[in-house]
Amino acid sequence: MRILSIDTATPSASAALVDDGRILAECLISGQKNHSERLLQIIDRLFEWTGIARESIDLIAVSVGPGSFTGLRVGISTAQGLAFALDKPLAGVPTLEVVASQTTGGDGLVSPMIDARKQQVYACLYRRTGGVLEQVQPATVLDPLAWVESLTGSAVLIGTGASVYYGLIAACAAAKGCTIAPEHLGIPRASALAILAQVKYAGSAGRPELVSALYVRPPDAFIDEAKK
Amino acid sequence: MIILGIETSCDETAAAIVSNGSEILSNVISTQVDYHKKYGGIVPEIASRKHQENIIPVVREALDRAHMQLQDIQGIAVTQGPGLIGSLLVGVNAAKAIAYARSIPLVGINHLEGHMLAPHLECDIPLPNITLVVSGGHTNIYYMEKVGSYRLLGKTRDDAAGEAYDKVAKLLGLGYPGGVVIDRLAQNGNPAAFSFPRPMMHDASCDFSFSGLKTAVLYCVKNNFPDGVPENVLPDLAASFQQAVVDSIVEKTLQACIVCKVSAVALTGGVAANSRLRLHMQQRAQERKISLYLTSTILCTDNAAMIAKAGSFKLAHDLPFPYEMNAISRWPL
Repeated sequence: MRILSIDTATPSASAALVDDGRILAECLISGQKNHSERLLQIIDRLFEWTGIARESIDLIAVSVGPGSFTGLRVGISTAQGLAFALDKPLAGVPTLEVVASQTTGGDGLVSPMIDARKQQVYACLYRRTGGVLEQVQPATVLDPLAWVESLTGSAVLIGTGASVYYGLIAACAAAKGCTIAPEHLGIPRASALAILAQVKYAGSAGRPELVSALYVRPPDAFIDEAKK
Repeated sequence: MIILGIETSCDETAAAIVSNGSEILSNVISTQVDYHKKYGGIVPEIASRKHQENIIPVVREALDRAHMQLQDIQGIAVTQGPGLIGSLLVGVNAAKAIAYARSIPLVGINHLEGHMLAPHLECDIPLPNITLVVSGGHTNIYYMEKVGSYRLLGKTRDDAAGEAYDKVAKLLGLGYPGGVVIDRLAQNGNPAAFSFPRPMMHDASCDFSFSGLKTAVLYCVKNNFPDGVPENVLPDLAASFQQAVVDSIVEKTLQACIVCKVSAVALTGGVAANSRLRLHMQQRAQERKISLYLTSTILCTDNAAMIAKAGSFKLAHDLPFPYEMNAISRWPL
């Protein structure tokens, strides 16, 4: 199965062409003000470099968050537009699961954490057994230290949220026997996303409009209203 | 050339198909008014999320209504700005992806230019002319020499006319969107019941100001009705406020015609659908022997047919593909 995968949920943007788990091409760029200017260029290069025709892909997979709202809009709109125009199924893949899948090591708990700004992280908890990730806690947005304190076992903490707030969570993580993955491993990668998509999300892929963002954090207007 | 237009600059997700820059084959507008109503105005984050849900279904519907396939589309025009950045990003990126996947040309359009050209979808309007773009975000008077050549003669120095409607409707507890509610209520009111200022009416410029008018309504309510405005007074208040807005707009616009020695004026933008504005502009333009070109309500509001129309002047098969196109939140025309 030939997959075009896209992730723009964090300050890094990446896209990959992956064929049955084999990475044909992947490109990642960080620190751009807005992925809107780069994403389609990256995708075009992947097709150009590999010589693969756009029409020959079987599936498009996109990272649906949680993450930067702006980033998600760029990635999902692009993926929806491509899937619609190429008449290919679109699969939405949770970004936290992509990050969790990028850990090395054996069985155990994995906690992906993505920087959510405002001194918060998007986080959830997976248990890995025999290489398969099973979500044991739903995605949430909260103070990074409060999240680590709430963990009941030793987990691998990975993602931009774990590296950005390293100073804040390191002591608590160590006390709980958690390890914090190096920063570069925690950047979501389109290749990991494609592999996850093929294993787990290809079956549920469908019309592009069926894919929606996993914002986790509601619009401020909802929060203001709830306070009233 | 058959062009797909896409517009997501504010709170309407819109797609349209226009043939040869003149024939509207479909014009789909999915409004989000109901989602923003309870907040008394547009919430940008909600607007962006709704666009994301709607963009592909709206494009699909535009094709269906035109009895076309995507393969029939020869070019895409998308609103690139100005507008809400999150909203614009959805349309811009979807349009880029579709055009790229289909290998067809794509062009980014200034939303204001779309509005300027909306009246031209319905009839041939003499050039040069004066075009008034009046909406929730803009109150601009342009001297239009020809397509692509516009001179901004005047604009609002504070609130746009539509914004003033929304704010006054909010302070009178009338709900959202203000333009529609006030226009309806004013039908049964006396426009001379309350005396509100016509700001900048005797100023030589073509600029507007509506913020003071809104404040005048606020103080009128505070001073005369400290316990709340009685139900039966609301139509008079609405009608008097509306008349002040209409007088300012009509006078300034016709004054621009006279100063520029132009005998044709076109009205466009959401507030150009206002019944009182249309009526008064008609009467007073006639008195001054100026031909008035009104736009159908459906083309006054934000729509994608006008974007496709603007695209028809710019799209060409040899254009380099705009890979780096980005949304532009502030983009004066």
